[in-house]
Amino acid sequence: MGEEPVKRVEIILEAVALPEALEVISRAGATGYTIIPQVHGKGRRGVRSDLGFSEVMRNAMIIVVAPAGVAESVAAGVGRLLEEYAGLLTVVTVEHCVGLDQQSPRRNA
Amino acid sequence: MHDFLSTAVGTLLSPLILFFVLGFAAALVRSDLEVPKDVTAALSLYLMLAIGFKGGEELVREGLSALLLITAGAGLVLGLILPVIAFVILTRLGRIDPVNAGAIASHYGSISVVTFVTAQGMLARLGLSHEGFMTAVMALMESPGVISGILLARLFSSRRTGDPAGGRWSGAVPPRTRAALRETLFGAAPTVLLGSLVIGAVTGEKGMSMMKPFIIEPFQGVLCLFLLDMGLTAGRRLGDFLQVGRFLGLFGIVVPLLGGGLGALTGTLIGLSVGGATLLAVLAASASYIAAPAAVRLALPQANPGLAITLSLGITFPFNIVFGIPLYHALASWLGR
Repeated sequence: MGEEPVKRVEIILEAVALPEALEVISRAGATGYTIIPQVHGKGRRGVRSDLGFSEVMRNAMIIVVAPAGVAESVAAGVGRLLEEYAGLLTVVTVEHCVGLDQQSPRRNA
Repeated sequence: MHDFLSTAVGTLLSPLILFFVLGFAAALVRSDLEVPKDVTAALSLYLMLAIGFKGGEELVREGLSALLLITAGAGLVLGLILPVIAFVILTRLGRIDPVNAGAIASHYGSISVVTFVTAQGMLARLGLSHEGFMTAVMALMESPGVISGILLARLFSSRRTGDPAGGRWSGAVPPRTRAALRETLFGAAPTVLLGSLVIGAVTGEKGMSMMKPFIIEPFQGVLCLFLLDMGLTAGRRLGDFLQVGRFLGLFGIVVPLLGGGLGALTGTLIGLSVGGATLLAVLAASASYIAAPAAVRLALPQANPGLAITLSLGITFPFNIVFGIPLYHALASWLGR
């Protein structure tokens, strides 16, 4: 029996939607994530960069590395948020991974 | 007229406005001048803390009075009514959809702390006193307008304005509305402002003598630095401002004038001093760009966040600090005669 492939979900999302995205990620069964709290760039909502005094124009990045099933649930859940909030989501297959916690119980959506 | 002009020139020549203009000009000539965003966030925190603390101390020094309660009530009513006026103008005259109209109305119902302190600075330069409880009234006026605008958007919008489908959520208040309520009541800005107000009130004069070197002396300088950054932000987003169109551009000036007029009139009618009525007018005229945007973004994610913040920061804020404040002062002086 082969091991389940590991995927990396990279999410760029409005900072205000971060708590909701993290809830989706934990519900999908991911055991961890990494946040880069401030990224800026240009996309379908024009230029988005931090104003400093309000987080409304700030984007954050979340990286989730998880077994394929969990990663797909994360992508589906966060994808729904991206219908309303600015951002971009990509999923790639990880060739080599060290340090991923695969022991915790996970729950597929 | 002469009074108005001399006040206007006096306001224009204050370091506060000149630093704002410097930032704006630097952005236009594409200078690489930059205030690091973490510094801006810290400056904003400092301003809220200092304003709140000072307001709390003044509140206790003056004590409870009938005028305080009446002004607080008037502030609340203004906060609830102003978004309705803005909403009607936006939807009826501007044919803006209810979600975006509600989002913009929320910003205009709430207040701008920086416009308020700039007006306080102008009153001080004119040697005009005002009721010490005005800062507390300002803190009180931060949230009702935001909530009022969000409710209008939800009430008049047939589109789904909120929560992810799936039925996972339970409870009467949808989670996004709850998140927005939490943000408007307990977000960073209102928490520091209200918390400092309470600390200022509890520690009173003793607390003030301890905090004075931190919150009084450096205040104007910090405000200049903050306004420099606001000027930079406004200047760098000039392209967005030019895209909002003639109607919204006009809205960003006319609605503050309406609010300012209503505020000055209310302040005079309830018996505030000229300084107090000027401040109530400034509160009614100003639009939020610190506290409201995040709450509105959470409650109304379909609304274009660039639109409301562009209007309040790019049009109404500069208009108010340069022309509005002297105008509201002139109106309050005339009404108070």
